[in-house]
Amino acid sequence: MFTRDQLITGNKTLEQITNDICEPVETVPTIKWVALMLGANSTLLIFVSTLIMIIGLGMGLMAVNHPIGWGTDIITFVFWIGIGHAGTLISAILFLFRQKWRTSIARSAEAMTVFAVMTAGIFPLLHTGRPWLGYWLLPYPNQRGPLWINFRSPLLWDVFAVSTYMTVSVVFWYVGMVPDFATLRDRAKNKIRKIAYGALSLGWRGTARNWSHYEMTYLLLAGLSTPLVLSVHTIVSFDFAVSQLPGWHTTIFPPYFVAGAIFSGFGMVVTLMTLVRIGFPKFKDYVTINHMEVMNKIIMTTGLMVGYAYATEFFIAWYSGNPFESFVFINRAFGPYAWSYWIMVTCNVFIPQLFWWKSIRRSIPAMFVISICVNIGMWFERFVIVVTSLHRDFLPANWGDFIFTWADFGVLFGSFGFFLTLFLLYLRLAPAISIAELKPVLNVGRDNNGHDASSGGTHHG
Amino acid sequence: MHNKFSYKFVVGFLHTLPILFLAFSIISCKPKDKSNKDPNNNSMSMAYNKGYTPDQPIDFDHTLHAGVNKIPCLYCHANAPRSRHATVPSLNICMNCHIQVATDRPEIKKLQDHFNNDRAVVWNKVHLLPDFVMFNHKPHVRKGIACQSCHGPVESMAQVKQFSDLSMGWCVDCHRRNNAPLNCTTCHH
Amino acid sequence: MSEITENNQTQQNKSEKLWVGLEHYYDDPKFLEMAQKEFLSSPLSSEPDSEFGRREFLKLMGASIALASTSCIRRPANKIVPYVKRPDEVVPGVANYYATSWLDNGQGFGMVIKTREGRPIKAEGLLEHPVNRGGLSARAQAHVLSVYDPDRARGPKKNIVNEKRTNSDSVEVTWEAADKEVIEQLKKGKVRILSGTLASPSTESLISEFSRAFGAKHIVWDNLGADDVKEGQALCYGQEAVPRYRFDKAKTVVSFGADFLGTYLSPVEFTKLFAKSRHAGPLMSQLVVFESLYSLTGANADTRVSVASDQLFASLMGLIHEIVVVNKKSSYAGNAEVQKWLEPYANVAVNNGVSSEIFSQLAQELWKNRGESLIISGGLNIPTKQAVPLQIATNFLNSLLDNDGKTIDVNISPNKTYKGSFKALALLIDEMKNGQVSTLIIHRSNPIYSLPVSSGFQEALNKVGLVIYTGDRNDETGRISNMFLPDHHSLENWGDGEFQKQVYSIQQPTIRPMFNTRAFQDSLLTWMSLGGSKSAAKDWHDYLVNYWKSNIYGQWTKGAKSFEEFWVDVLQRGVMDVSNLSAKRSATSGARPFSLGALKNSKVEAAPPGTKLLMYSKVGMGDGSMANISWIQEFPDPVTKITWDNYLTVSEEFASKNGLKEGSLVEVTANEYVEALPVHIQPGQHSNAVGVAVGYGRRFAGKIASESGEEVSNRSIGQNAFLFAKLENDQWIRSGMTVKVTVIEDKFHPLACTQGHHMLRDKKFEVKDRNIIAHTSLTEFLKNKKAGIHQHGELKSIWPEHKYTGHKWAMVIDSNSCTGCSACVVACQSENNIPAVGKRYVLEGREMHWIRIDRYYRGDPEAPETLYQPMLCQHCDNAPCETVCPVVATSHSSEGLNEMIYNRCVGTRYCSNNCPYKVRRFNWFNYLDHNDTLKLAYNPEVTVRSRGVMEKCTFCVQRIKEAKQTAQDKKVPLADGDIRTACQQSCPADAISFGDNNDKGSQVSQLFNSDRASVVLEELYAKPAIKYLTKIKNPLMAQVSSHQEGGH
Repeated sequence: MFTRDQLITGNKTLEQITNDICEPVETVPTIKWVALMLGANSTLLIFVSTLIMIIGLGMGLMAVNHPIGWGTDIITFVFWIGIGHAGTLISAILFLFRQKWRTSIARSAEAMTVFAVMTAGIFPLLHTGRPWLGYWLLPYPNQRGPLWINFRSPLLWDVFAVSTYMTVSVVFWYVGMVPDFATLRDRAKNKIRKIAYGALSLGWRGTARNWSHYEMTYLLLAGLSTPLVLSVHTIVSFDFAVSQLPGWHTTIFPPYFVAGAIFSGFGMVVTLMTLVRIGFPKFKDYVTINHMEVMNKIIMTTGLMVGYAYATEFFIAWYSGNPFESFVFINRAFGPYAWSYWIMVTCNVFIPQLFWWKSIRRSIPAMFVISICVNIGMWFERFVIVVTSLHRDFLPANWGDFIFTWADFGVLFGSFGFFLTLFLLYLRLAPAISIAELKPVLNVGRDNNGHDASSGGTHHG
Repeated sequence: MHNKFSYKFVVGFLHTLPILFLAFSIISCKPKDKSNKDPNNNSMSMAYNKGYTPDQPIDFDHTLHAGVNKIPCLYCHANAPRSRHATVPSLNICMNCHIQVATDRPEIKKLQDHFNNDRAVVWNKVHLLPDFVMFNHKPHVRKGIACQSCHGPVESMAQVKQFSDLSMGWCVDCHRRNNAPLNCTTCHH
Repeated sequence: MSEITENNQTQQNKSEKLWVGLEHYYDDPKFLEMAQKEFLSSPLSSEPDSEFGRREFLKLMGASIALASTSCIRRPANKIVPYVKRPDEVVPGVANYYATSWLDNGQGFGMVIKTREGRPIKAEGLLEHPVNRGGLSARAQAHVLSVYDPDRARGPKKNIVNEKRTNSDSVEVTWEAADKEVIEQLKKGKVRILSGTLASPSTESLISEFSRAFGAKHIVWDNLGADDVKEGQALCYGQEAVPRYRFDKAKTVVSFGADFLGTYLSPVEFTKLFAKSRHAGPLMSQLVVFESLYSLTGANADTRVSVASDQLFASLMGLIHEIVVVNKKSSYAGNAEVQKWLEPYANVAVNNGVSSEIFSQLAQELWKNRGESLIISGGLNIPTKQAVPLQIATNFLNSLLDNDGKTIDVNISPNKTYKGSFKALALLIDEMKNGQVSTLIIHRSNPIYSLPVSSGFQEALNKVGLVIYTGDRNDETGRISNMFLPDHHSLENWGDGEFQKQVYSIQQPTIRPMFNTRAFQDSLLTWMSLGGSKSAAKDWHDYLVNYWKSNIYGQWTKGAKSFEEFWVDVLQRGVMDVSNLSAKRSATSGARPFSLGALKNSKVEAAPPGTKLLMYSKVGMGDGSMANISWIQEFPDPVTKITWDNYLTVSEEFASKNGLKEGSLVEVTANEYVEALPVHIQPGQHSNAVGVAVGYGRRFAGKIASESGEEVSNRSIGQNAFLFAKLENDQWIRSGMTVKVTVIEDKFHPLACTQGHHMLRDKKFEVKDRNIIAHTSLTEFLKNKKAGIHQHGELKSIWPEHKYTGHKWAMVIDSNSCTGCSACVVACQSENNIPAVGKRYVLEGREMHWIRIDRYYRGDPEAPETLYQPMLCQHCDNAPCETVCPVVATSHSSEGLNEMIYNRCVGTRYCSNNCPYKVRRFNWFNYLDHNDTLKLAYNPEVTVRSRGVMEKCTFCVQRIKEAKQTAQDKKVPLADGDIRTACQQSCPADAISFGDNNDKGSQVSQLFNSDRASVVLEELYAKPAIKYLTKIKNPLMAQVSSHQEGGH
C-alpha cells in the first residue's frame, strides 16, 4: 500500500470546482486562446486547400510513387489513430481499474481521441486515387450483379474497426458529458445557451434514477470500449502484417502497434494538458503535477516496450535467415533513410528514459519537450515502417526514392490545424473536466480534510 | 420544468428534419419520363436511363419495317453477327428499298436528300454503354439470342426506347442463368 | 377522402350535396382524382400507382446513394453517325490488316499494319518477310504514332529566307503555286537531288527518268551509313557491297565494336538470326565482343573485352597474328610478307592489359569453327581513322577462316539499303560552293541537323538558287529551304523496297493522307509533266504498278499467272522474295579471292594520347528522325536505362579521376566544338573512351523534342552530338577525336533513369545474393540441366488453389535468347494505350510501361556481366495483389489471368505495395491524350485509363478474346499459336512464347515444364504464370563462375 498525493490541490469547495470548470465555457475567451485559435485556423486553411488541390489534380502531387505506393497519407493516418488510443485507455480501462487519478484528464483525453480519430479518418479516403468513390468500400446493395467488397482485404477491416471505434468513443465521450451539460444549462444566463445545452443534456434532471442509469450506462460503455483499445490498432497493424512485404510481414506488429499507440497517445495528452494548464491557470489545481507524473511514468514504460519491439524485429530478421527480411532491416538502420530510423529510436526509446529522474518527470517544460519528441518519434516510426520497407524490396531493379513535396507537408501540418481547431473549440464549449466525477474524489466528508498536501488522503491503488 | 426541457428536446430533435428533406429531394429527381410508368421498372435502376426514348432526326418507324413488313433485324443491322457494333445501317442500305419504295413520303424525302447530298444522318444514340464496357454483339448473336431479349419488342416500338436497364447486374444475371463466362475481363479490359 | 368517395359511391340526391365546383358537382372523375391527390398524397400512402409506395420508400432510400453518385438526368446524349455509303472492306468494330514495308535509315521492315475504321493503330512484323521475319524494332513500333504527330507539316509552305538563310518566315502556298515556281527554276537545269538511301526500285527509276528530263543528278548520302564496309569490300574483293551477315550459320561470332544487336546495319534481322544460334545445347554459339563503350551487343557477349578505342584495329591484327603466326594456321601461315605485316601486333594483349589467354583461346575457337565463324566490325562508334583498315583486317580474317560466302553473303542477296556515301556529299558541297547547283531537292534527309557548320553545307546553300525540302516537318533543313513541299508519311503513301537483293517488298497506304501533303514521287511526276516530258504514268501509284509489271513480275517465275493475280498476291503477301526461288537464299556461294595489297596498305598511324570521344547511336533514338515521338523519347535505353536525354558516358575510373558524379554537367570539347553534357557513369566502359549518343538536340522537331514544350525551342531534349564531327581531307571524323572534358562546377542535370543505379554504388546489393535471375555457364548447363536455378522444397498456400478446367494461359521467356533490345516495351505501349509521362515524372519513378526490361550487372564493376530480365505482370495463381484489394478490382479469371478492372479501382495502391515484382502502374494524373490527332492512335479494344486507377499487363486479353472468337467463327478449336501477345509478336529474338498450359501439346507447356524453366522469387509461392528459361553464357574462359545455389 502506498499513498498518493491529493488529486485536487487548493482546498476546493464543491462550488469552487463547478465555478472553476465552467469558467472557460462561460467567460469571454482569453487572448491566448484567441491567438491559438487563429493559428490553428490558418493551418486548417492550409489543410483544406491542399486537400482540394490533391483531389482536384491527382495523387501525383504527393511524394508517393512507384514503388512507394503509400506515403504521408497512410503514415499520418496511423499516427493519428495511434494518438486516439490514450483517450479510451484512460477513460475506459483506468475507469474499470478504479484509477481515481484519471478523472481530471479523462474528459480531455477522450475529446482528443474523438478528434484524433476524426482527423485520421480523412486520410484513408484522401490517399485513394478516386476519393469520390470511397463509398465503394462499404457493403451496400448495388446494381453490379451485385458486386460485394473483398472481406479478405485488411483495408476493409480497417474501415470497420475505425468506424466502430469512432462511434463508441463519441458515444462514450458524450454520455460522460451529459450531467455536466445539464449543469451548464442550469447556470446558463441567456436563452440560446439554455436551448443548446438543454438539447445536449437530453433533459437531464439529476434525479437518483438519472444517476443510477447514468452510472450503469457509463460502466457498460467502458466495458464495451475496453477491447476496442486493443483491437483497433491491432487491425490497423494488419494492413502491414498481412501483406508479404519484407519489413511489413511480421507477427510482432499487433502488440507493437498497440504499445506504440498508447505511448504516442499519452505523449499527446501530456502535450495538450501542459497547454491546457497554460491556457486555463485555474486547471492547475485539477490537472496537478501528480497527474502529469503518472502519465510520464506510463510514457516511460510504454517507451521501453516499443524499444523492445524494435530490438525483437532485428533479432527475428537475423534469426529468420531470410535474406530479403534481413536486408530490409540493415537498410533501415544504415540505408539512405537511416536518419529517419535513428530519429525514431532516439525519440521513442532513449529520450523517454529521462523520466527515470523524478525532477524531470515533474518539470513541466521538460515533459512538454519530451512529449513533443515522442510525437515526432512516433510519426517517424510509421514513416520508417512504410517507406523504408517499400523503397527497397525484392527486385533491385524497381527500387526507388521518396522525396517529400509541398503537398505532403500541407496535409501533415494541416491535419494538426484540423485537430487543434476542434480541440480548442471543445475547450470553449464543453466542460473540459468532468465536474460530476471530480467531486467524489474530493475529501469532502472524509475524516482527513487534507489541509496539508503532504499527508494527503490515502487511496488504495 | 420537465415539460419545458422535453419541449426543448423536441426542438433539438427537429434539427434532424433536413435529412428527411434531403431524402425527398433525391427521390424527386427521378427522371421524369415514361419509364416510371413502365410496369417492370424497378426503381433501383433509376440511374440507368431505362425507357429513354429520344426523338430522331428522321422519324423511322420500326413497327412498320420490323413489325408489319417483317424485315429481319439483321438485314439492316447487318454487322451484329460479325462485329462488336450492330451498327445503324448506312444510308445505301436504306436506299436499297427506298430508291423506289414510298419515295413521296416527307421522311423518305429527307432520307434521299441526305443520301444524294452525301450528308450523314446524325441519330441519337439510345443504348449507351460506358467506354469501359467492352460489349460485343457477335458472340451473342452467334449463340442465337434474339435481339428482343435485350432490346425488347422493337418491332412494336414506333420510337425506339431503351428496354432493359443495361446495368451490370442485368448482364451478369443473364450470364449466370446461361452459364456464360463470368470473368471480369469478359467485359472490362 | 372518406367523404368524397362516399358521395361518389352512394348515389344520393345531388341537391343535398355540398360542392365546391361544377366538376365536383358532376362527380367529374378527373376532379376526384385531383382532389384525392391534393389532400391525401403522401410518400407513405400505399396507393398502387404511386411512385412512393410504402415498400418503395425503403428501396428509394437505398437507391439514393446510387443516385447521389450518378446524375439524375440522362448522360450527355451520344450520337451515332453511320456511313452514307459504307466502303465494303470497312466493318465498324472489325480491324483490317494491310501488309506494307518501311525503311528506317538502312533497316528494312516488312510490316502488317492493323487499322480500325481506317486508322492505323498497331504495327506487327510480317512473318513471311525474309529480312525481319516478323520481328520489329522499337522504332518500327513507334512508326505508327508518327503518322499522328501533331507537329507534322499540314501543307506546302514557302519560306522567305534572307541571303544568309539564317532566319526564315514561312507562308502557306497552294501546290499549284508552288509547282509553278519550282518548274521555272527546274527549267534552268543544274538540278541535284539529295536523299538518303531509298532502296525503292520504282522510286529510283522514277528519279532517273526525272534526272533525264531536267539534267539532274541524284546524290545519295546516309547519315548513319556504311561507307567503311563498302570501301573495305571494294579494296579487298574489288566489289563495293554491304554483305548479308548470316549469324545463324556462325558458331563463333567476334565483333570489333559493331553493335549488330542494337544499332549496326540491320539489328532486328541480325537478332533473329543470332537467336537461332543460341539454342541451349552443345552447339550453342559463342559471342566475343571487343569494344570501348558498353553496347547492347557487348551486354549480350559471352566474353566482352574492353579495349582502348584506338586499339581496336591493333587487337584485331593481334588476333590474326595469333592464328597465322603463333598457331601457324591457314594458307598464309608460311607467307613471310603477311608475317611481316602482323609482327608489330605480336603482343597486343599485353599492351592492352588483356589476358593473352583470351587471344589464344579465341584463335583456337575460330580456327576450330572456320567456315562457321563470323567476324564483324564497323559502326558510328569506330574511330573514323581506323574504320577502313579495320574493315580490311576483318575481311582478311573472314577470308582466311573461309567464312566468305558461307557466313558472309555478297553474291546471293546482299544488303541494298546502304547506297549512300560521304564522298558524294562532299562533292555536292563543292559543286554548290562553285555555284554549279541551281536547284537542290532534299528528300528523306536532314543535313542541316546532322552536319556540323564546319562542313560548309549551310553556306554552300546560299549559292543555290532554290532549295526544295520534302521532309515531314518544317525542321532544321526545312527552315532554310525556299520551298517546303511535304511528302506523305510512309503509311499514307505507295511505294516499294528492295532491302536485300531481289527481296521486293511492297509499301501500301494504310490511311488517307492526314494533311495536305503530296507524295514526293507525285511531285516529281507533276514537275515532269509541267516540264513537258510526259511520263507514261498518270500518277505515282500507276507508275509503281507499271514498274512492277515490267521489271519484277518477270522475275517471279513461280506459278505462271496474270499480272493482276500477281499484283493482288503482292498486296496480300507484302513481299516477293525472288532471291529465294528454289531456296537459293540459304545456299552458300564460293569464297572470293582476297587481294593482299589491301592488307599491306591498311595501317593506322598511332593516335595522339588522351581520351577519345566516340559517337554512337541509341537503340531507340537512332538518327533522331523520330525525336518528336514521345514513345521514343521515353524509351529506356537498353544499356543505361536512361530516358529523355543524351549524355556523356564515362568509365568509373575516368569519373573518379575527374571527380564526376552521375549527372554532373561537363563541358566537352572536340574538333573545336564545345557542348555541355551531363555525365553518365557506365561500368565496363574503357577509361580511354567517352561516348555521346547522336539523334538528340532536335531544335525544330516539335513540342515533344523541346524541353520547354514549344514547337521551336533552344532548350531541346539532349544535345546534338553530330556537331562534334569534322571534315578532314574527304573524311568525316565522327569518332576517335581527342576530347577535353572540363567539369562545370557543381552543376547537375538529373538523368531520368528508369532503374536505380545505386546497386553499383554499394556492392552489398549485388544481384548475386538475391537469386533473381537463373543463369549459368554452358559447361555447367551441359552437366546439369537445372544448373543456376535456385530451388526450394515443397511450398504450400493457405488459400485453396485454383482449378483450371478450360484454358490456362501461361508465358515462357527465354532469358537466353532475350537480348534486352526492349522492342516489346514499345509494342506493348502501342497495343495497350500506355501513356508517356514525360521526363519529370520518370524522374519521380512514375513511368507507365507495363513491361520493363530489368538490367542487372554481375561481378566486377570494371568489367561487369549484364543480365536482362523482362519483367511484366506474372499473373500469379496465388496473387498477392488479389487478396488485398478492398473492392475486388483485381481478381482471378477462370483461365488463370490476373484481371485488373480499371472502372472498379478506387486506387488504394495496396495491390502495388503487395506485389513482389512491382509490375503495377498507377495513373498519378490524367495522362489521357486529348490531342485531336494523337488520340487517333488509341486501340479501341483497350480502355483508356483515367486518373487514380491502377493498371498492368493483361496478357493482351483483348487478343485472347479476339482469337477465341475467330476460332469460333471458323468452328475450329483454338490452336496453339493463334494468340500472340504484342510483346511476343514484335520480339526480334523470339524469346517469348505464350499459350495454353493445359494443352499439353502447346509449345508453352513444353517449355513451362522443362528443366530449364524457373520462376522468379519462387519462395514466395505466388505461383506465377510466367517462367524464365535459364540464361546461359558461353564464355571463353570456362572457369567463369556459374554460381550454384543448393535448395533449402
